[in-house]
Amino acid sequence: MNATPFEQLANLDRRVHDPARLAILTALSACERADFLFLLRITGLTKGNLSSHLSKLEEAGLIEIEKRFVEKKTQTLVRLSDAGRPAIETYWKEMDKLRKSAARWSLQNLVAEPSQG
Amino acid sequence: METQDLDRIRFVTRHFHDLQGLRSLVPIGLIALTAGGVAGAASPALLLLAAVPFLAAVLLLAGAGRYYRSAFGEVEVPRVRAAAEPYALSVFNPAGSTPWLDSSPQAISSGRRLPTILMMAPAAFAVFQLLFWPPWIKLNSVVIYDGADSFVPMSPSAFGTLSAPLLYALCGSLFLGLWLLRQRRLSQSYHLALGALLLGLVPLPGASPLWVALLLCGSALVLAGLLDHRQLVRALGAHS
Repeated sequence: MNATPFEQLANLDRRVHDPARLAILTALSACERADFLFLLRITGLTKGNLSSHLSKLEEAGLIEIEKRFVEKKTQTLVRLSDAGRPAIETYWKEMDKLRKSAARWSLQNLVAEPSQG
Repeated sequence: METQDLDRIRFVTRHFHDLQGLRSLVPIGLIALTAGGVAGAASPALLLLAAVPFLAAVLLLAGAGRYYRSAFGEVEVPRVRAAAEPYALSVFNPAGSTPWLDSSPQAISSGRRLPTILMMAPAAFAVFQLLFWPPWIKLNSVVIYDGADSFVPMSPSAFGTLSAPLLYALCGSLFLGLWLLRQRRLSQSYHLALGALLLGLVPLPGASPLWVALLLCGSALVLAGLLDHRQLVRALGAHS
């Protein structure tokens, strides 16, 4: 059974689909791990926003957060969890399917509309 | 969040260390400028002037790493990214659905290692020759054919003339290697331009003396390093 593009859109992983969280996960998917300052810089989020999104992603089990002391300062290191990497992979596959079905859907409707008029 | 933003995020994260120009390319370039200045200086005053880029290189080597860590944070990149291209086939892939990324992870890893090896091997050989000057290579043991059925020992000046094209070739290969490592992106085309420029100087008749080659290669390295640094600052500092 083929789902409509709207159904596919509704089924996207909301934990990943949020723009800020997508930016964080994209950065983490390109490296082994990154610290809080780098994620702050690369995403352009505020400290509060980034902390909030990291907490949500950690609660969802998509990332792992590690804290350590470097030169008497706390350094927060973030990495994709074992569940996080397949989650973002699945997300992109779903987005790809959505694009294709949306293209099909719009083609069908564009063909159907003139005949109705 | 647009596809270009995700592309930028992915590229800068992956090449975070490569883009730290003040940490690598600029100091190497400054040292080459110093060497060129020392080799070509006609007076003691110019020799003193040549020490300035060397001091700057030492300062950068000592402090640039700390600067980048404190300003932009830290990123750990895995040695082999076995599953780092999870969505290479997607058109939404921030890096684009390029043939380079569409190959298998193993091929990606090997493909990226190859240019590194290609540029490191001749560089290591040249450094070894220049620094240690192995005893089995002597200027009077290098001979050239004089066109009259005899060989004559190569003079130091002739050997120096050969060193300049070698340096252009090494430096040009380095820039081309960097361009390939950075996925031949349009934003990295200054590496391609500098590489092509230096490689274009290799076959020119009446090649320039070694000190000129050192100055040219040093300037190119400094320029590329500064452009890399600017790119990193613009990508990571725009939100601050």
